[in-house]
Amino acid sequence: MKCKFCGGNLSLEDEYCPHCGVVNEQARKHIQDMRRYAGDYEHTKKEVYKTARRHTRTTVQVVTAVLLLAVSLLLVAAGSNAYSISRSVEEGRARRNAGEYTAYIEQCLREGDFMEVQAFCQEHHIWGYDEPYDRYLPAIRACQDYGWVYVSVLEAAYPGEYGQEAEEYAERVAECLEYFYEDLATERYEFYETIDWDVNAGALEEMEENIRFLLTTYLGVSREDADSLKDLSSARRAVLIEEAMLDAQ
Amino acid sequence: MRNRWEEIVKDTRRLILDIVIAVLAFGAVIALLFAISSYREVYADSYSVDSYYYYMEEGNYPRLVELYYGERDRQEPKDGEKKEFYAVARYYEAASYYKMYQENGDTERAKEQAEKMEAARQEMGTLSGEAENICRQLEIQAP
Repeated sequence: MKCKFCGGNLSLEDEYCPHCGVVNEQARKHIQDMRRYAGDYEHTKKEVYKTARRHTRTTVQVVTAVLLLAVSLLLVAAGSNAYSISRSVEEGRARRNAGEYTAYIEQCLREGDFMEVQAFCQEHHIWGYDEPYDRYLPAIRACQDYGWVYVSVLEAAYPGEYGQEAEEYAERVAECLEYFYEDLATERYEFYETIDWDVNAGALEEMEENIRFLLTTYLGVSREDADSLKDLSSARRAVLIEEAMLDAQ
Repeated sequence: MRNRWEEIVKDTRRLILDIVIAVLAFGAVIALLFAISSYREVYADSYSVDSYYYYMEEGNYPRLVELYYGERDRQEPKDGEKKEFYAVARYYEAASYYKMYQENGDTERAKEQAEKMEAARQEMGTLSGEAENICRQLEIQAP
C-alpha cells in the first residue's frame, strides 16, 4: 500500500509511515484488530484448557473408581471361591500327572500303606471317579474310611485321662465301620468297567484283615465276632464292641 | 455469580469422587487381605506344633497319626520341630501295627513294622523318649 501523505510504500505492520512519520490508519486498525483477536484467542485457549483439564481429571477419577471397584469384587470372588479354585488347580494337576500319581497309589496299595493313599488322594482331590484313577475306585474309597476306623479303634482302646464313655467310643467305631463295609460291597462298582480288580481285591482284603486284627487286638472283640461284624447292623455292632471293651477292662 | 455457583458444584463433585476413590482403595486393600487369607487357609500346612504337643502330652497318639496324614509336607517337612513330631506319629503307627501283627501270628509283617519303628525312632531327635512311652502304652517290648 501507499502512504496517503507522501506516497511512500507501506506494509500492514507499519503503524507509522517510515518515510514521513504520519499515522497509517489502515495498519493501525489492522494491528488493533490483530491484538484483539490475539487476546480473544488466548482467552479462549485458556478456557478450553481449563475445561479440558477439568474433564480429564473427572474422567481419571471415574475410571480409577470403576477399576478399584472391579479389582475389589474380583478379589472378594477369588477369596470366596478359594477352595473351588484350589480344587480345580489340583484336579488339573492330577490329570497332567496321572501316570506318576497312579503309580504312587498302586505302590502304596501293594505295600499296605492305606492311610498314605487316603492322605495323597485327599491332598490332590483324587476321588477315584475320573480316568485313570477310576481303576482304583474301590480301594481309594475304602482307604478314605480305613483311616477313620484305625484312629477310632485306637482312641477307644487308649482313651486317656479325659476320655469318653465306652458307649460313645463304640458308637464311633461302629459308625466308621459302617462306611468302610459299604466301600467293600463290590456290587456298587458293577457299572465301572475300568476297575483293576487284581490291585483292588488285594488291597480291600488286606484292609479288612487289618481291621479284624485291630478289633481283636485293641478292643478285645473275639475272632468270630470280628468276622461277623460286616453282616450286622450298625447298632448291633456298637453293642457288641462296647461289650467287648467292657469285658476287656 | 452463576459461574461461581457452577464452580462450587463442580468442586464438590470432585471432592466426593476423591472420597469415593479413597474408600474404594481401602476396600481393595481389605479385599486383597481377604483373598490372601483364604488361600493361605487352603494351602496351609494345617496343624501347628502346639496341636501335636497337646495330643502327645495327653498320650493321644492316634490323633498324632491323624494330624500327620493331614499334612501336605509330611514327606519333606520344612520345620525341624515338626519333623520330630512326624517321626513320633510314624513310630506309633508302626508300633500299633507291630503289636497287631505279632498277636495275630503274622511275623513277616510284624518284622516290616519293626523296621519302620526303628527308622522312625532315628528321626525322633529330642522326642526319642516318646518311643518308651508308646511301647508302654501299647504294652510291647521295643523290637
